[in-house]
Amino acid sequence: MRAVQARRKVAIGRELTCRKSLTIPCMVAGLASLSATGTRAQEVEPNEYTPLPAGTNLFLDYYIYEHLGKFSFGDGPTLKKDTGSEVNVAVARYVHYSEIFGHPAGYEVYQVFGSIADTSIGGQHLNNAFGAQNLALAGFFWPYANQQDHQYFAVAGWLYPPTGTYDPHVVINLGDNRWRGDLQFGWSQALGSHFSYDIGEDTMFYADNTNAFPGHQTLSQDPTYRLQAFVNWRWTPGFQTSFGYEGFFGGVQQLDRTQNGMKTDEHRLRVTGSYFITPALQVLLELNHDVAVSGGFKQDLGATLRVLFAF
Amino acid sequence: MALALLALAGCQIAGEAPTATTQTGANGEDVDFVTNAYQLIMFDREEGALATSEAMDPQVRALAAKMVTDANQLAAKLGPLAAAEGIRPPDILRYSLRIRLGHMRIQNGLDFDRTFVDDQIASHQEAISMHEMMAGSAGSPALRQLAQEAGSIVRGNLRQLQALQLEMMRR
Repeated sequence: MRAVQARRKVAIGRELTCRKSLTIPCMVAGLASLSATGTRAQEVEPNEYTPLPAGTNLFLDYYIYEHLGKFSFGDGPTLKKDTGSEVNVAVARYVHYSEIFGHPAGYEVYQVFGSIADTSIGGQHLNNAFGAQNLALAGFFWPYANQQDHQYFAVAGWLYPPTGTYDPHVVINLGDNRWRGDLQFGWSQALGSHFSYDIGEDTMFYADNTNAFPGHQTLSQDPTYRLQAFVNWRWTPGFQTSFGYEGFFGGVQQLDRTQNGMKTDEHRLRVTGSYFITPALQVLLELNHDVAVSGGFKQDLGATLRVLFAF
Repeated sequence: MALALLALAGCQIAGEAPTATTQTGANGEDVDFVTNAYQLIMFDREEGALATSEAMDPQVRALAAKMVTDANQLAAKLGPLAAAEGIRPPDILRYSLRIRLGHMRIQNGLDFDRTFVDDQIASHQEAISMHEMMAGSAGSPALRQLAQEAGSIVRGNLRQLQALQLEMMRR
């Protein structure tokens, strides 16, 4: 009984602290939704808007590393000293291509799991997080697919049920205890046999997390808008390099209707190279770097190693 | 939306089969022949259609167009014969052909002529052995007759493909 009362006092104390002084842990409640952004699979890699033949299955395995550096509080200060985080995650992803009404279509499912560790903001060390992010489910459809001219327009719908690892009493979690949905539009075109480009826009919608840190607070978030673009050069039939941009906009967060300084305002440059080792096995390496961030961690260096197997 | 698409996709997946099916107990050799013939017809159509816009060599374009026409004519004859035997043809490509076609799509025409000719020589050689096997089988007489007819067309196309391959190697 005393233990229960003690936990209640701690929880109440945290709520009061959050409401009155906005300490760092309170301000970054919901941080997990901002870190490890590279782990969201609707973040496309080059050629992902090109439909593969009906019946094709892909298994993709990713290892993603992110070294996060500075932290900025929205329009507030940017902290550099004793600030950073290390993200190490793996992604298991399955994709199936099919046809609906004569158009290419398909579905996919993926799961992210791993760790966010050594996180400090302004010298204040935050908890390490281990576990799984929310499961991701998606269906995609090509209303327009012109294989002769290599022009593809894709639409994808994503759903993230709140299945990820979540503890409302710690700041950083891999799961975020809320439903999310995302609607994505993508266009891909090849001009000649060497050059192609991909452009994507997606909007992520968030339900409230009604059990946000430090417990029983409501975290709400405006939709996040994202632009992605790649220009690709295919050197040989099996080897391609790409240069890309990814920008996040919006996503202002509120904790119990008070803005907490977090939002999704991030601009990232990406470089990738991919190579088919066998006709069914491809490896891809991506390096990326945030050029500007407001309302979250800035990623100094990101690396993705992806292995794709078609079956 | 995602759920709706998933549900639709699920319905579609249930019908996906790379092999022909029969509910009337059709001869196994007939089922194999229909499976393989449809696989190669679907592949020739898809790859041949890409050749009309991708191929650099006019000879490759012309031969691809002829092969698409041949594939369509063969499909038009094979469909009713398969139905008469109670055989439902496959509706997706088998694994090896899916992989080959997938590469053709993402390569955007790079080195298309050479890849196309190599692919088609392999598929025509497979078709010839399939037709020979069917002709000597104890299967449906109508399907055996079709195999013989198709065999001579496929041999003619194969000779042209091999001549093109030789020409490409000399360049």
